[in-house]
Amino acid sequence: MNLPTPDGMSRRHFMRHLATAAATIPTMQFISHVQANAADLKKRQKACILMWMSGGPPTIDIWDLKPGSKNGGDFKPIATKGDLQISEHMPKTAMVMDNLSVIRAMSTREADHNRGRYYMHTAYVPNPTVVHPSFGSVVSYEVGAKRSALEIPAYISIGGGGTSPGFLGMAHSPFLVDSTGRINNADMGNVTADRLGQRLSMLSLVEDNFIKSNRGEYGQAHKDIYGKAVNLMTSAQMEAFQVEKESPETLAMYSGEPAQGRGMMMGGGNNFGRSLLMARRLVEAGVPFVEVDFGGWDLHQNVFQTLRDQRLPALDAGIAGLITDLKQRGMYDDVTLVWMGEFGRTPRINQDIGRDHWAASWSVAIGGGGLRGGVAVGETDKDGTSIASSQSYLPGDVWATVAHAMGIPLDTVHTSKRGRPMKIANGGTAIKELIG
Amino acid sequence: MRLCEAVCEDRLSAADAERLEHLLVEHREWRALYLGYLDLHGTLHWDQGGSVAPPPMVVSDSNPLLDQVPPTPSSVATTSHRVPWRKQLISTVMAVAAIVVVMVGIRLIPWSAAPSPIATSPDSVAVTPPSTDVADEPVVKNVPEVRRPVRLDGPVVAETNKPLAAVPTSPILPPEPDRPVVADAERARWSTVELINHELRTSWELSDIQPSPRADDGEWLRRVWLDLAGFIPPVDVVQDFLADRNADKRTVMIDRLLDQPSYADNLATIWSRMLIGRRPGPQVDRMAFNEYLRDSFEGNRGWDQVVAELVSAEGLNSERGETNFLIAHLNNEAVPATAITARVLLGQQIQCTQCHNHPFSDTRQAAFWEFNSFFQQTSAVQMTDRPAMQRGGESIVPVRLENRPIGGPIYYETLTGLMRAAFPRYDGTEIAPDSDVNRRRELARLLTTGERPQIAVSFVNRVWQHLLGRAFTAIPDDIGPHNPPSHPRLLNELSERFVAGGYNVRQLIRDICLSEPYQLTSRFGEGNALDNPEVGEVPLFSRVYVKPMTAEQIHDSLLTATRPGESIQLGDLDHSQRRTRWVDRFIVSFDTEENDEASTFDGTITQALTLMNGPFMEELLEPRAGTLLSDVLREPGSDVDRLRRLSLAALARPPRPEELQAMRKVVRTSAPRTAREPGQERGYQDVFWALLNSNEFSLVH
Repeated sequence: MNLPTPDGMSRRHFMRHLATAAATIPTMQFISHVQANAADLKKRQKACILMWMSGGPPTIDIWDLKPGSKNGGDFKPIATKGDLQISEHMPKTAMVMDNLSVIRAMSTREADHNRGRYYMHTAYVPNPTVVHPSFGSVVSYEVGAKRSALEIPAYISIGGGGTSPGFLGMAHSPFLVDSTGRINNADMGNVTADRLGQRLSMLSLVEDNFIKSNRGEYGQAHKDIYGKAVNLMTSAQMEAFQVEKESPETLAMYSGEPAQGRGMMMGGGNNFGRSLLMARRLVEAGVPFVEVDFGGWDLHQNVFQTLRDQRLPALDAGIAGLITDLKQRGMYDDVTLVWMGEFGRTPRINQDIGRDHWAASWSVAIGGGGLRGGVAVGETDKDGTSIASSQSYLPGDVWATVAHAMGIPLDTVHTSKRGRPMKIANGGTAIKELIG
Repeated sequence: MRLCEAVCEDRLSAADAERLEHLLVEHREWRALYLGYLDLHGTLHWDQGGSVAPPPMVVSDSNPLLDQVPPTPSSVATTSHRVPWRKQLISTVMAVAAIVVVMVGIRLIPWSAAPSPIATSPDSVAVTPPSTDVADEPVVKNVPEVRRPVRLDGPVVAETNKPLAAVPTSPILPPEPDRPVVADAERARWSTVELINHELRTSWELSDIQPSPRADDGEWLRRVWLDLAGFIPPVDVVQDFLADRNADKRTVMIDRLLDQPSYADNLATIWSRMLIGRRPGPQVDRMAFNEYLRDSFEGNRGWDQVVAELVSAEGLNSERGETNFLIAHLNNEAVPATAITARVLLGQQIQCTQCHNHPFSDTRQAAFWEFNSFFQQTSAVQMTDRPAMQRGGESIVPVRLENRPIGGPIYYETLTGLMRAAFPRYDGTEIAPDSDVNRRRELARLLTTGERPQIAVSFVNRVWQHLLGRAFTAIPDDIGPHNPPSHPRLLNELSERFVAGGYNVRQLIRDICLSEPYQLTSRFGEGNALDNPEVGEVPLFSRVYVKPMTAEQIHDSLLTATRPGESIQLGDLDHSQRRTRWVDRFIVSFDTEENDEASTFDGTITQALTLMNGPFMEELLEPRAGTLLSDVLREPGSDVDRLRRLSLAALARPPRPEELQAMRKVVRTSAPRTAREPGQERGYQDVFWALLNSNEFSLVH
C-alpha cells in the first residue's frame, strides 16, 4: 500500500495529511475503510474482460467457417486443441482453444451499429422510456460496490466510446482510458498533499451545505463522483494502468512480436494486445469489469485481405497471450472472457468483396471463469445463413452465463427510476453446455 | 413482425392468432421477439400510465390531469384497469410459456391500440377546474373547437396514414354540459404572464401542492444569467443587484440581459449544438453557422423565418451560414436530415419509423419517407475549384448546397420486403412531385403555416425546459400520445400566442422569466416534496428544477468568476476557439449514419479530474494582473471582505458563517510568517478552487 502515486507522494503520507486537514470528509472515511479491508485484495476475485469488436466482426471468417459453401470466402478452417475448428489465421489461439468456447448460434436481430451496441451491452432492445445499464455497470453495481478495497472505478473501458450506466446512476458509468493508460489530470501537479487536503475539506463543507439545501439528487451525485476522482488520484492501484511496467517478454506474448527493450511499445499499431495486458493488470488490482475496444471490423469491402493482414494477426496474438498469461498466473478460473461485437456479418459476399451487417446467425466467444472450454455451442447451417441447432442464443444468455461464472445470482432484479422491475441480463439463461 | 403489429393494433384474425401461436411455440427466437415487442409496447403503456397517475397524496380527488377528465366509459375503464394491467405486464415479461403470453397479450391489446384519453385529450383538460376565481362564468361550450386546428378533434382512425405532425389525438369525448369554464374571451385578455401564473396556480391547488418560496436575489440572479447569458453574473453585477432596493429590479435585469450580446451568443450556442452538434464534419462551417444563428437571435427574427431558412437554404457554406444545417446531415440519403429536422424542430422522434410503422402512435413508415422526400432534390456539392477555408486552425471544405430538378417519388423497402413509393407529403398536405417544384421551399411553407404549427409547440416546449429545468413533456424530442404534456392547455396557448405574436423569441423568454414559477427557489418547500420529476413524477413547476451546467457554461462561468474583465463573446475568435478546443476533448463521436455524438462531460470522473487538476483551472487560479484574485489580494480590506468577494464571484452569495470561519483558517494557515505574500496567495487560491469545484458552482439552480 505504500507505493508511490503518480506525483511521488505515498498514499499513507497523503492520508495522514488529509486526516489532519479534516476528519469529516467522506473520502477520508472511505480511505480509512479501505485500509481496514486491504486484506480483501489478497483474495481471489472474480472478474470479466469484455473484448468488444467495434464495427461488427465477420465471425464466419473467424469462428464458424463454411468451407465448400459459396459464402465460405478465402479462409480455411484448422484443427485446434479444443473440440472445434477455427480460422487458419488464428493459429496461436488454436493452440489454447481448449480454454475457449464459441457460441455459434447467436441470433440477435439488431443490425444497426447503435442499436446493436446497446443490445449486446445491456441485453435489452433500445426503448424510448428507459435507459438500461450496460452489463459492466451491472457488475460495478453488484460486485464493485462490495469491494471496499478497490480504489479505482469498477468498470473501466479501454479505448472505447463508453456506454450508459442507465438507471444505475453515474457512479457506475465506465471510466474511459485510451490504450496508453495515460489518465489526464489525474495527478495534482505542484499541489502538495497539505494543500489538496485543505482544498478538499473546504470543498466538502460547501458541498454538504448545498446538499442540505434540498434541491434534488444532483448535489449528492456531484460529491460522489468527486470522491471517486480523489480516490483514484491518490491510489496506488493507479499503477495498474501502467502497462510499460511489464517485462518485454510479457508484452511480446500479447503482441505476437519478438520481445524488444523496455519502453519500446508494440509495433504495427497493435493497441489491442497492449489494452488486454492493461486489462489483466486492472483485474489483478481488483477491477471486476474491464472492456477492451478493438475496432475496424465494419468490413463492407475487402474483407479477406484486411482480416489476413491486419485484424486477425493482432486478434490472434492478443487472445492467445491473454489466455496464456492468465493461466500462468492462476487467474483463468476467476476471469471470464467474452468476445463479441454489435453483430456478425452477412454470409453472402458482396460485390466489393465485403460483408455487410448480419444479426440472424453469428458467433460470440466465451471462456475462463470456470466455464467449459473448447466446445462449440449450437450451429449454423452449411451456408451460415440460419441457425441449424434447436437452440439459438440472445445477449441475455451470454450475460447470464457471465453472471453465473462471477457468482451474481440470476434472480437479481433492479428497479428503474420509474419503479419498474428489470431482471438481470434481461432474464437470460446461463448456457448449460458451458456451465455443466 | 407483421403478426406482432397486428396483435398490437387489434386486427389479428383467428387464423393469424393460430399461426402466431404456432410460430411462438416452435421458435425460441420468435418467442423472444414477440416478448420484446410486447415489452416495448408494455413499457410505453406503463410509462404513459405512470405519467398521468396521480401523485400518491392526491389519488382521491384533486389530480390536475385526472380530475378534469369527464368520466367517459373509456377513461374509467383505463383507470380501473391500471393496476391489474401492470401485474399482467410483469407476468407477461416473466412468462415462459408462449401460450400464456399470447393470452395475456391479447387481453392487453385494446388498451394499447389507442392512446389513453386521460393523457392526451387537450379538450378535457381545457375545462377549467371549479376552484378558480372566475368559476362562475357561464359555460362556453364548444368554443375551444373553433380556436383549435381541426386535426385535434378527430377520432383515431387506426388504419389511415396519419400525418407526421399530428398532435396527440384522442377519441371524441361526449359533450360536458355542466362544467364551469373560464370564458375564452376572458382568458384572451390576460397577459401571457398572467396566463402562466393562472394555469400553474390552478394545477398546484388541484394537486394540493404548496409552491416553494421565492428564490432569494442571489439565487435568482445567478440562474437568470446562466439561462439568458450562458454564464454566471460577474461579481460587480452581483454586488449591485443585491444592494439594489428597487421593487422592479428583476424586470430591469431581464430586459438588460435580453439586450446584451451574450443573449444571442447563448441561444446560438444552444441551437448550434442541437442542430449540427459539437463536432460536425469538415464540410460544415460551424463558425458561419453560429454567426447566422447569432444574427437571427440578435435581430429577434421570427422563429418561423429561421426554420424556413434552415430548411430551404441554398448557397455556399461559408457565405450562407444557414446552409450548414443540412450540409451536416445529408449523408445516407438525407436520413439524418429527415430525422433531425423532425426531432429538433418538430419535437418528433421518427427515425424508428424509417424501418417500420410506429405501432402506438399514428406515425407510419410512409410518413418518414414522405418527409424524407422533401430533401430528395438537395445536394451538397464540393467546390473543387476553391481552396479550403481556414477557420482558426480548422480546414473547412467549400461546399455549395444546391437543389437539383428531380421529380417523382423516392422508394423504400417495407419490413416484408416490398418496395413502396413515397411522395412529398407533410401533415396531410401533399405537394406536386414535379421536378420544377422546389420541395424544400414548399416544406418551409408547410412547416410555418397554421395557428399552431408543430415548430411553435416544439420551440415553446424547449424554451420552457431551458428556463424551468423540465419541458412539459418528459422527452422534449418526442411529443406525442405516448409522451403527453403535463400542462397541455398551457403549452397549446403559449404556442398559439407565440405564433400570433410573430414567433417573437425574446417576448416568449421574457414572459416566462417574469412568470411566478421562474421566481421560485429550486429548493423543495414544505408542501411539494412530491413535485420531483427526477424520479419520474409529472412536473408541476412548483419549484425550479436543478440542471447541470453544460461544458460551455462551465467554461465561460469559470472565466467570468476568475477574470471578470475578459471577453467571452462568441464573436471573439480567440475566445470561441479556446472554448471549442476545451469542450471538444469531452466529445465522443460515434461513427454512425445518425451523426451521433456523446459528451463525457456530464458528471463523470473525467470531468471532475479536469476541473480539479486540469491546466485550465491552474491557469485561472494564477493571480495575474487583471484577475479577480490579484484584485482581491491588492485590495486594502480585511480578509473577511476578500473572502466575501470570492464567494460572491463564484456562487453569487456571501459565505455562510461556518464557511467563512473555515476559509479564514485556510488563509491564515497558508500565510508563512516570513514571506507573507505568496503564502497568503496560496490560501486564497485554495478557497477559490474549492468554490469553483463545488456542486453549487457547477449546477444551475
